[in-house]
Amino acid sequence: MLHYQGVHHRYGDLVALHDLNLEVAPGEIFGLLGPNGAGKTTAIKIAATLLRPTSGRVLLDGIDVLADPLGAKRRLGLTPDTPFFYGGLTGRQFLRFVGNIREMPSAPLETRIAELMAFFHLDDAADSAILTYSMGMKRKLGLASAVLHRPKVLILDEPTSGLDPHASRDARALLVSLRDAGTTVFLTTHVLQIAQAVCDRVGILDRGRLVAVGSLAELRAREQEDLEDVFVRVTRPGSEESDPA
Amino acid sequence: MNALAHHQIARWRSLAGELRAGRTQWDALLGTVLSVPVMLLVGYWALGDWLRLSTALVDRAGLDIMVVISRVLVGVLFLAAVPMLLAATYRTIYPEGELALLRSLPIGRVQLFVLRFVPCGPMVAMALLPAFLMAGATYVRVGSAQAVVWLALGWLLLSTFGGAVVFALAVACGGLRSARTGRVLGDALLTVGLLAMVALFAWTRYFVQTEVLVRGLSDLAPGLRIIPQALSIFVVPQGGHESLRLLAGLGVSLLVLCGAARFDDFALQRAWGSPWTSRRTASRGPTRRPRFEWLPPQTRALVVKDLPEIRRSALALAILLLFTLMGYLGLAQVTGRTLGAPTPPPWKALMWTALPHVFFLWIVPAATLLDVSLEERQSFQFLRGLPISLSRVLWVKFWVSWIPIVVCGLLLSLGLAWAGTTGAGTAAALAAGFVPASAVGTMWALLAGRLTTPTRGSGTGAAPFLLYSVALWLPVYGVVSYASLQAGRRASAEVGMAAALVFLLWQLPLPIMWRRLLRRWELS
Repeated sequence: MLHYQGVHHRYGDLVALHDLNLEVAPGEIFGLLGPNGAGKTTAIKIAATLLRPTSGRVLLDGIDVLADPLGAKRRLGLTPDTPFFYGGLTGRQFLRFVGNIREMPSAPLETRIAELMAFFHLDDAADSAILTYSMGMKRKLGLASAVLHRPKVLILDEPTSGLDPHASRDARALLVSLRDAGTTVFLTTHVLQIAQAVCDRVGILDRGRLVAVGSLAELRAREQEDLEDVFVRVTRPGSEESDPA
Repeated sequence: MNALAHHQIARWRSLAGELRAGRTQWDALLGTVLSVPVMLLVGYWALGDWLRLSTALVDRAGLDIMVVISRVLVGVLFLAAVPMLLAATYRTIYPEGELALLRSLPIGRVQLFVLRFVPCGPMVAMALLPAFLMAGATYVRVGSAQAVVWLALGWLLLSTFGGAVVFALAVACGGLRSARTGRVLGDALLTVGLLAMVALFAWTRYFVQTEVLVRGLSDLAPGLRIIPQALSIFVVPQGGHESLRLLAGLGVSLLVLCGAARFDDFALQRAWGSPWTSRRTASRGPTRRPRFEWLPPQTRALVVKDLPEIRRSALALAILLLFTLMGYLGLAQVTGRTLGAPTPPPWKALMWTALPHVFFLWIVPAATLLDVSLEERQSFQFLRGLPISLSRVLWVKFWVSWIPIVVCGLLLSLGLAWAGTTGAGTAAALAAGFVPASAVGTMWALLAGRLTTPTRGSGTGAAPFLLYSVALWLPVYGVVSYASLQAGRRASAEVGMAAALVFLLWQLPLPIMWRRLLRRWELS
């Protein structure tokens, strides 16, 4: 469903992604882990058509995102690490805006907005300006706008950052229910517990290289490690997996 | 303080570095390099032509016509520029995101504002430059020692004074405020300035003979002449009651608008929601039928999003109203008679002064509306992530910005014809010139790709838009002056052809600008 094929990207002299090859299967929750500056956000931006890779290509539902960015955008939902909102609009107006841009018919759109507002407990604030929302409420609104059109691929950059424990649990439940409904979820996170709780497979990115990939069971197979141990081992400077040489 | 200065310098260096490194910037740079000499040449030619024509007119019609023309030109330009720039500059003092960072650092607020003061002077100077050039060209021989004195005294002193006023207000009004608060204060400042204008009008109209002041100061330093000239806009040659009512109405309208804006901000800051959005939506329930359903969904989304922003910007509305009424007043003044009098004005004088005015007056509100409608850098990124094309976004923004301007422009033309200030034919000619010029100006401003607004984040103020408007105005002015100079009769055909030529010339850079913006929109 989401296929990175030899994706390489550099910012000036800094190489952000080294020849990334990765395939995310349909209906799978894939977690991309990595320390700060590993290249996670760059990988997400390329898949979301916001950044042109130096070389390589990304296929999203069989569509080359470079060749048909609009087609790719119609199929994906995106929540960046710092989502943007028009502060003067109300939550409902913002979701209406996104739904109209996605050309959703009016009646189903209104129903879906009401459904999502209820799910994220934003009903009371639905008709207040976003300017007055807390950080957590904005996060929830960002998630709601990403899943509004029931995308085939959902890309989330740090989806639970800024959420309280209740909202975080709701978000995890949402991801699982989306997966069960056939949506492919590609997320990055620093919170390894979330990866352990919801991801079917994870990849660990370090200094632009994919140093480990597999199901949780596969990654933990060598020793009796938990995900944190694996993460620390493969991303430690000088470790065999992380050494570019 | 040093750290802040270094931070600022680093930002400039970074910008220069981006320009050097970014291949996508080269075409824009090339366009600028090519267009600046052309603009200077046309400006120089227009000013020289103006001087020659002024002399010819004075010889034939006497000094009075020069007084009328110059006071309208200088007065409108000066008075239009000062409140706008004061308000715009005040806004840039409060860049919200940057302020959050600076507030967490051990920097005194006075130090912060001293640094903020640095751009105030140049911004005011930039805005005043056209007015001073016009006044200088009228009263001072180009290349003479007087011109140097005029520039040194008039321009530098007044711009420094303007910057100092902004600085003093910023510090006096206190502390570190959000961009939103800065915006409200800027609007309030504009209102106060406008009320002062109304008071000045009443004072000069009924208690002071401005012409006496002008003549009395003529033997003094040339730079000082700008002051009574700027005030002379308030004097209607014969009878002023209608003008007084116009300005009083303008003041009241602005008060209402600014009051609405204040209430809007007040409500938002207290989490009441906007009275323009929240209450209306809530009162009709969550399943309220969306507006503009007859529009295609993507167009509807952008229109519904942008309209409240424009409506909520008291400054945009106030400037629209201000320029409409001042344009009307200026055109009435140039005829040198009571509003509504039956005698037709001299055609040449009207064309010579009215047409550039109309172009200038309408490009500035166009830029102001666009300013609200343009996207910030972050929202630009957000829109890029959605399945919508850049051309769709631009066209919707074009129509949303341009239609109100056209409606107001046509109303102005109709109002002039109705009041008998111009004939129906002249009013139609003004409208015919204004419509394409405002369309090109609107598209220019959109394609210039400014992704920030003064009302949010790190806005750069209205100064660039003023410069755009002046840049657009100069060649039109030159063409009209040339046509008037050449024709001892009504030169409608020549003026029409010249205006069409300018219109076409200004369209030439649009494809380059389009490609530049497209590269930023698409995968970069």
